[in-house]
Amino acid sequence: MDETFPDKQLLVSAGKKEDLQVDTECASGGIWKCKYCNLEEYYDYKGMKPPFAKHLKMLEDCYIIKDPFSISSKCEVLVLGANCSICKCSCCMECSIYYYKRFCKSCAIKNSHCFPSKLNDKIKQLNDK
Amino acid sequence: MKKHNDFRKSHQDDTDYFRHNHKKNKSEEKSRYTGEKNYRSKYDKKTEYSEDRTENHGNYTSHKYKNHREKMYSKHEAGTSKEDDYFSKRRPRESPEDTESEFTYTMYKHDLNKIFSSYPLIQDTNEFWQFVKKYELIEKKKNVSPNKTTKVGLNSIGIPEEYNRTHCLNFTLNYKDDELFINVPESRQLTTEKLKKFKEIIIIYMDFKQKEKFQKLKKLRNDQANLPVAQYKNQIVEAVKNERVVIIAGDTGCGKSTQVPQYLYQANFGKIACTQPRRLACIALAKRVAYESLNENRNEVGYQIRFEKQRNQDTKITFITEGLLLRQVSGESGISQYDVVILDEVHERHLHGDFLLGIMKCILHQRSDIKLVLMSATINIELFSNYFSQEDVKVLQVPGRLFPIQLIYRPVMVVDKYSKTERFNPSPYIQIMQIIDKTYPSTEKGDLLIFLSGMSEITAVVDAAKEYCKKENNWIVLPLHSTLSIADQDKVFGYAPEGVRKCIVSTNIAETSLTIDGIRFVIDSGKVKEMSYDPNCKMQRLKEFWISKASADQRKGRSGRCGPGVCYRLYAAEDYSSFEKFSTPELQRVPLDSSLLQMIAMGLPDPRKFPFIEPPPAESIENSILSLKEHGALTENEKLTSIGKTLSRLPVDITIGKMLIMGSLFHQVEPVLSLAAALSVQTPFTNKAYRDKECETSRKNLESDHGDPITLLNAYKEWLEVKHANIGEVRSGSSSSKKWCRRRGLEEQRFYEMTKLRTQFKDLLEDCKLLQSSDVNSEMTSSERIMRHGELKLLRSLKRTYKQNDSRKRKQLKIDEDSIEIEDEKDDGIDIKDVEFRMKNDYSKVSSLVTASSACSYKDLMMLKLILCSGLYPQFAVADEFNYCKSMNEQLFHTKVKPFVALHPMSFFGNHHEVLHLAESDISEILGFKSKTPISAKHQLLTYLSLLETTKPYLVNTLRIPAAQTLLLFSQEIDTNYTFTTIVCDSWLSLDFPTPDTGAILLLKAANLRQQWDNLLNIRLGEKVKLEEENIDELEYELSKGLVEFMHTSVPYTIKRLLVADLKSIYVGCGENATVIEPNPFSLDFECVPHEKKGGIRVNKIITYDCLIASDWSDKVACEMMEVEWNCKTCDFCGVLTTIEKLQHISRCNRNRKIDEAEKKSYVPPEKKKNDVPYECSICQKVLYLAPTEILKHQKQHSQ
Repeated sequence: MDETFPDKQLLVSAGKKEDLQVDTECASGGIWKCKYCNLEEYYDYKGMKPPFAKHLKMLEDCYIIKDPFSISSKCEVLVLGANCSICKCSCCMECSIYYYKRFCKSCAIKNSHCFPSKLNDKIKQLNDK
Repeated sequence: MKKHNDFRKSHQDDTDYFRHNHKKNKSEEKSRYTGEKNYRSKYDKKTEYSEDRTENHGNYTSHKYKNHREKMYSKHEAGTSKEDDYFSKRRPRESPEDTESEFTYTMYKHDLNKIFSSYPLIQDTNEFWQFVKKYELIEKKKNVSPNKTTKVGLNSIGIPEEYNRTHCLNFTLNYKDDELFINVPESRQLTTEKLKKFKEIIIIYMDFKQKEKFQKLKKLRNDQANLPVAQYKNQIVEAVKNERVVIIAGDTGCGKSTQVPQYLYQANFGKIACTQPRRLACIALAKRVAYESLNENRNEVGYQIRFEKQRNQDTKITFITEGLLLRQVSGESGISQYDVVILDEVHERHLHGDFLLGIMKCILHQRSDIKLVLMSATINIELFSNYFSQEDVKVLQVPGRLFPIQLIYRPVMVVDKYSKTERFNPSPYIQIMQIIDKTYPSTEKGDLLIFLSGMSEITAVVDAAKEYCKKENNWIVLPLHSTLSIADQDKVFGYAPEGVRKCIVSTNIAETSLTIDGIRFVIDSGKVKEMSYDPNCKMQRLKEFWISKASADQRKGRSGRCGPGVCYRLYAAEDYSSFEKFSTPELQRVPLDSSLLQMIAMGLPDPRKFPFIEPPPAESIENSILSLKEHGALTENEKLTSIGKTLSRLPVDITIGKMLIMGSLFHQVEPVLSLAAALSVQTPFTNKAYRDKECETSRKNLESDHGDPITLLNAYKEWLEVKHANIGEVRSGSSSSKKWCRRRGLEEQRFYEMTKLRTQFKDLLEDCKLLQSSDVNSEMTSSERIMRHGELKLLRSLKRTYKQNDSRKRKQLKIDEDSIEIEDEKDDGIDIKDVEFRMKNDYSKVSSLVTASSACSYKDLMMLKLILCSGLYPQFAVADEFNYCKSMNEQLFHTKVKPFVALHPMSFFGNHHEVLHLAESDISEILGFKSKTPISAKHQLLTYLSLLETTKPYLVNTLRIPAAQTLLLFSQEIDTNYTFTTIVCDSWLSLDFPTPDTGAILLLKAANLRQQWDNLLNIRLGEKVKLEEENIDELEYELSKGLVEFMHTSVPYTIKRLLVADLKSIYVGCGENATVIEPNPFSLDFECVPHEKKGGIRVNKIITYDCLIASDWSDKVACEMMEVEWNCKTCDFCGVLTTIEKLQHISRCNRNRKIDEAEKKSYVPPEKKKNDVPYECSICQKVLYLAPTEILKHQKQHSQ
């Protein structure tokens, strides 16, 4: 783990790296449910490059819907959630934390010692929700 | 308790940013905080999930209220507090000392904005720049240490060990840097580094927006799950799947109206109709349900109301008004387009709702694949479950969500009720306002809602309340009733400023129709003015009643929607217990004519056997059937006629429907369409139009001395002209038509409604084949089409902008000296109604509407009047004989069944009664003829749209018409004496024609015209063999020419109202004067029969000849006639004849003439050209129709 990156490049290459890992599941549509809060929604797209929002590039495979709160022509999106990078369960944005990768509530808590200290509060908050 | 703490914590967070502003109050705040803890904790759980609501109106506790205020500010100034919250989570705050100003991105706002115009990254740039400002501020406070270049490694779970906030972002922009900043001009300070940094800010901002949106979604789902009805979701779905009829009973706030359609949709029912009694509820619910199902951008949730439709093939849930579904069910499309029908608010028992219940009951027997769901409040459930007891019915009860309400009875002493001046005494209401002021600190939020019975009571209380709060300025007093303008109605939804309460003084409109949030106090007068209906004289009566228990409870409930409330009842508990259990259903207090006709048209053989849930009085049904027969919609044995069939398809009163049909017979359909539309909507003339001096003078030129319908038509026409003249003003905010209306005290909304209704009428008439469809677009030139295209594009974008701004709907109220204004009304001044109007009506359409809405010539006007009468008959009224010597308020009129009716003060004749009086010069004398009433050729009647009793009975929407002519054309029974000097119409009005033969000839003309009219009607409605189009036109031309001439005939007569006693002594009686008339001058093919009761002989369906006892004058005329020779005007005949013999002669002459004319016509060459002129050629002895050049040719031909 002595590989080092300059800051910006990290982001880009991280994206690329994930790109290769992508399951071919980036097809459209389906029902998605958060394992923790049971939020259940229909999603329009799963993946990193939502076809209805070309200006965005996700750094993980996300469950995405077209933004239902704004006018459709504006091609805005709403990201519902993603799969946990450790346990692969699907979790919503509030029941998980993103730091370089997606961690669901329980995986984040289990590994809380591995996160930078600045995120400790945030991880604690996850448990409260 | 945990939740409770949480809640507070988050709110502390929220206010963090504002704390420095409130440092002084901090300690105060804290103490209040703990003091209120008890009050709060009980309801905290609830407040939390209903945060959506509390956000809108605040809670009663001051802290929460302050929060709310801050949130509101933050909404205006782009979400400051929330953003701040967001930052505070990201980094700890440091000392604010550092105020070094150097580079900020804001300096390059203009340049940087170019990014957003080329890439769809950010919608609201203003908000973004606010965010940037704050971001920079915090960055500065933090004293950023340039540790960016630190290198990091990945740890055991694969994340970088050292914290960097960019790792918290799960997305990036899909653009390369130079691609993104391509349009940003280069400058010294905007270095690549700075730009990169800017990109980061954009991403952080977008991430913030994402989080905000996700929270919104989460809260929405939480709110839904916390609705009482949510626990019953599975039960409801199961019940609907298994049973045929499901009744869901739940009180206000349980969420049934929004959730049940969604549950069913999720359970794979795909064609759901959900009815609502009110149009506005349809739109509001459709919007809400679309929002909740994240469907706003698709069409799966739609609505359909009288004037508007937002639905297509994709629509799965349709909110629809009861009336419209009733029409659909009885129409061609039928019920098959739905698989579930939800009837919401059935307990309100509206007319259409009750009919729908009956029809659905029938449909359930015919079709097994349809499910019926009834939703009601928890009152009277047995009524509904018993009604469907034969079908499988399942009742589910859902508890409501109401906070506890303190109930206080404060009966008003009878003495106090009205002050000395007999006026309604508002002091009990003011006393309660005083109590509220004393008992509840102004920091505790909560508004007051007062229920009164009517307008005058509201005005009294509003005036007194304004007086009361003049000093303190701590109340905003707002009246609320249906005749207010829409804008004024909307004010009740605004926020009151801090420390001020709203006091809404309302009719029962706020009981169910309008829900105002934030009400904590209710004062209930216990009274309601309700429309009842007298089927005998077809009069609507607005009378004050005690309310029912059900509506008393509903009123009480209005105070407990948002928090614990207080309800003051201005009557005793004993009064309450004596109230009726439920209010009278509408079915029992309105005319049933059109509904019954619709049922009959649907195939119901006997309307008396309709399965009413609670049948109306039998009398009401009988009267309606009678009235339908009078209008020719039903035959004597209650079969549907062709008029009836057409009428049943028109969603209007029978009278208006009949006008439309008659209008389409003549080439008068355009103004009739406008008139019918104008008469079908609420009047645009507001109270102000009559009370305000300025309004009165400026609307003067709209008035027509013919009466209110023509005035209304004038107003509509002028409004259209204003629209027409300003068609180019799309861009400018408030339209000039709006100003035009305001100046005259008119409600513009009504004109828009008229326009929509008019289009609808036109479509309907085209559907019924009564009108040929027209295609306006095809007449446009290509340049016009291009212009129109551009205009439409602009309008559409305006509409979109409006929609976007629509979200921040509720507005801040402020206290003004006299009027209460809504802030920033002018800012987003898109007049959406105007935009919609322009989208539907282009320049040429408006200009054709203008011409279509005017009746200029005498002939047009007369035809219009006749068409109106044909719809309104028998709604005629005759003036009291003493009117000429009485003042304005004492002018009285008599209808056939209702004597002594007054003119409505808000009508033309109510202010100009002298127009109806006979001028001295119009009264003539005839030697020897004695009469109490004046002889004149200019007697007039009034025809009216409706009778309304408030303080006294009034005629509403009156039009003046020539008396004798109209009566002879429309009366259903006409009786005459031997010489036709006396003619009695409908056993109501007696006309005396002293001059010999004048009455007879007038009646003969009328009879002929009526026959022609019937003939034309039958041809048009397809009952008779179709004639050539040309022949129909000719028939119509002749008829309308005849009618206008007839109406213009000047014959002197007297008019007298017959009383019941008179009727006993005017007829000769059965078996008398039964001599058969042969040939029958009134109708050749009608076989004369003696009249069984009156005596005399019936010469056609309507006229009975010689059944009136002869008067001295009549005998005298008969004698004189034997001495004077009579000259026929058409032939050369000369001799002594009785009146009836003369009529026989005249009709024979007429027939002969017609045959002659017909023969003559056959000579006319068929292909007549435009500039042909008749030319009588002396050589061929023929009349030729030739163009001038052809005449020359013809002459040449002879000369050769």
